[in-house]
Amino acid sequence: MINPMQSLAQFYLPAKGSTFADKTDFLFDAILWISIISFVAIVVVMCWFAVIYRRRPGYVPKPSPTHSTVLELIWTLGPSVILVWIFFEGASGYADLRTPDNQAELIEVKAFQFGWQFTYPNGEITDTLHLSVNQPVRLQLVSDDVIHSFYVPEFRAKMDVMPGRKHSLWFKPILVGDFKLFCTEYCGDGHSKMVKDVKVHAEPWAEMLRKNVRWKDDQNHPVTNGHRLYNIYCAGCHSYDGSAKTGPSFKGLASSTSRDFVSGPSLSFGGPDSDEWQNYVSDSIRIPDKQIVKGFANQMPSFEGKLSPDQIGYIIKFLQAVDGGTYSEPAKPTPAPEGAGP
Amino acid sequence: MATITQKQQLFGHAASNHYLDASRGVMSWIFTLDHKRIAIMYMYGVIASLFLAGVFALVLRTELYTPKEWFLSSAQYNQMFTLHGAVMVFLFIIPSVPAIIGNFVLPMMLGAKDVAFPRLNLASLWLYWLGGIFFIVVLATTQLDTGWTFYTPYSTSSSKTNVIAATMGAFILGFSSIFTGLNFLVTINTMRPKGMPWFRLPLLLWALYSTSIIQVLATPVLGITLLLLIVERTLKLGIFDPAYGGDPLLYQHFFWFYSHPAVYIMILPAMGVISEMLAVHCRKEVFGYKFIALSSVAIALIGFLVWGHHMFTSGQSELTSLVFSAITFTVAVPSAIKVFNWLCTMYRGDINLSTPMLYVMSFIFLFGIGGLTGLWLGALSTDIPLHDTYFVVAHFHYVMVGGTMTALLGGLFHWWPKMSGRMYNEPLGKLFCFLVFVGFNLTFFPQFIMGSLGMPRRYHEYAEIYQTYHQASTWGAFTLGIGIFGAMMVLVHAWYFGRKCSGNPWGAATLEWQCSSPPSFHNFEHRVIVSEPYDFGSVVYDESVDGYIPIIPKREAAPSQQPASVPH
Repeated sequence: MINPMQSLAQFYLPAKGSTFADKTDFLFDAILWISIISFVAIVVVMCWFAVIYRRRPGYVPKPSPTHSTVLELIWTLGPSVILVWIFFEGASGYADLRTPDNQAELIEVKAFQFGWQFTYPNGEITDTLHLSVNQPVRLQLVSDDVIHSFYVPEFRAKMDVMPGRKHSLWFKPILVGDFKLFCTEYCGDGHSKMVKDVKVHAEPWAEMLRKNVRWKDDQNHPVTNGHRLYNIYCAGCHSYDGSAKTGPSFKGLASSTSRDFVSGPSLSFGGPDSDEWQNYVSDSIRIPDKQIVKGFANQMPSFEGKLSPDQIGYIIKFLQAVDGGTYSEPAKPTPAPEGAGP
Repeated sequence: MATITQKQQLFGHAASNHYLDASRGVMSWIFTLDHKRIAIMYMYGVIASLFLAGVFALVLRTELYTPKEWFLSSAQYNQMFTLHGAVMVFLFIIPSVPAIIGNFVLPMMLGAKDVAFPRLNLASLWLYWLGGIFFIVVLATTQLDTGWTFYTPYSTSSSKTNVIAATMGAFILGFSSIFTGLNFLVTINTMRPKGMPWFRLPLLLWALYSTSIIQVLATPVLGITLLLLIVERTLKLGIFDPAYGGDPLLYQHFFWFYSHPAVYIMILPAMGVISEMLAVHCRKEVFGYKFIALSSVAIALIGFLVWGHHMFTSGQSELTSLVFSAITFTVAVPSAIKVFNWLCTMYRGDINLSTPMLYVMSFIFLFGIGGLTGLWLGALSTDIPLHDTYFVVAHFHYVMVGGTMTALLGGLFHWWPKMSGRMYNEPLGKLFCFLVFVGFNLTFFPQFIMGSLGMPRRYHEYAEIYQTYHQASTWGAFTLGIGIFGAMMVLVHAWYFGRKCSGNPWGAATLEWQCSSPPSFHNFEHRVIVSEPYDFGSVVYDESVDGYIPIIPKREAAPSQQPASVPH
């Protein structure tokens, strides 16, 4: 059955794209009808009085009261009751808006003059927002420069994106389709161009991520690829600046000439391009318990089958690049194409 | 014969030696201390600002006729909307009603010769000019692209435009506003005539008094904020820019602490003007005088406590948002009281459907929409999607333009006979009032719909689904422009060629109508006769002056009859 109110609402409200829409739109319509009724009443009474009490020959106005405390109290308290109801209805919708679902997946959002960047739990970065229908998400927003604001009309959600502090915004998309994300805080010349695509996919979250949110190795510098893999797989236990973590730091690894182990003979290398060194790194990733570096425990899982030989190659390039203890982004091989991420 | 001449002299059309004639030459205007001349000079400035910012608006609307860039670049568009907003707010709407109508009629409504501090009044006008010069400097140099709100850190660190000149201008205009407010406060407090206690004050004065409280208390905060902004932009002290350890939310709190009460600086005097005109043109005492008077004070006070409703999406804490939303709804009540009381004033009235009365009805219609749409924005869950969309743009234009500008135009028509001594052309006045009404609604009503559909404000380019609404809005803007221009022309024509009128052509009972039109330099050539401000039985039509004159109560020094017996 078609709800006549709903078909009317499409002329003044966007599609209901998230779980917030029902409640917010209900209040929107409630205020709309309260307003229409009181506005029509006011205007009809005003015009009616203007006609029947207009100054004209032969018309003598009858006396009328100059005030009526009862009447005035009625139209002070009457609207107050309605206002209190509107306040509570709005506050209750707002409470939903500010209470994230505990199943929500976290997406980090960075806004800058004049664009958006989304970082997913798998470490991938895109400039189109990919979501799964019925999968709640929490967006953690931060700006690189001035204030921006994240707004998708269909989701009935909006939050300012501040430099220097993080704000969160959550919602649960319920409609598959393509939507637009707008910047709604004026941020300079390109403000009206900070519009990006939001795609809500029918696939479940994990599958959607696999399909749409994928890093393209061939579009990036090998060292960048290696840095990305490092951040996803290694950074938890290994630093590259020399600081102590669970595993040995990568600082100076590429330039080292030998390595001592808890058991078995030491290895000596002929520099970062030597077969011995590269085989050692590759083995350590695939079969970590083969050689445990002196001073550390056997805690590292095997990445055999998880990382392809190409990916191990990128990590080797990255280790060579951070040998000095610092990382600097290499220049991209090609200018970033639209949608460099997925 | 002698009495008629005296009557004509006192209450009729001033033949000569009125305030416009009293002295001559440019210097006699620039250095005048006469509140009436200061009001007229304010009027030139305010109307020129309206014209300038109105042209900006038409340029914007023309550019927005197409969804993609047409003849303005993004940078030019941003400068255009910023200057439209800044000039309209600081140079047009804040000074409009208080500085023109307030300055002209406030002392006369008290039966006084001038305001309490005439020199301060002149200083306020000069500061207004000086502030205006700063804005002209902004226009002539690198312009301004921050939006009238000057949000940090964009304004302090990112904008390449002349932010400092503009904020200096706004700072100076703030002092102009404070001076006017201070002057009105002291004048109303100390110069009320005998027989005019507080509850006999005309409602316009209640409104101006409330406004003045806001001007004196809130404007200094704007001044401090703008100075801090200048310091941050030049010295990078780390007040508002997180890059130096500052907090951009702090700026928003400071800014709206002034700028929300400033909304009431804009609308309260307009409400006062409406109350005056309604009473006179319905020839009836305003219904519920005390409720209207006290609701002005209530709005002024509560208005200080609602600034956070501009910041529901800014990341302020949830509790803060809840509190501000709740207080925001309380401010709706006194506004509703006024509207209902105005309607009841019309009941059994003797309604003269003159141009000012049509503006009053137009005001109630437009302010009704402006006020009611505030409900969506005060409620938290519905505000979130509507915040910073065209819905908000439409809402505040309905209040500021549909409310204040309509009241200002109506007020000018209402007091024009007093200011100029001449009557405007009634049919043409009504025609352009109608055109303003239609043009206004055509401009701004579609903006509600595109706003609720999600069209963000301050967008140079937009999605094609919004184009129909934008085009309607553009046609409306030109209609509105023609309407306002036409209304101004009717007034200009009246100033030079209008029919000469008497001191009190409307039959009003407030004191400013008890002198000749235009008033003499000293306003009153006689002692004013104070009655209830809306006691229309206190004036009577007199053919010899073609207007109303006050009924002079009979005073007898001794009983006319010999008492029958002398009491012991």
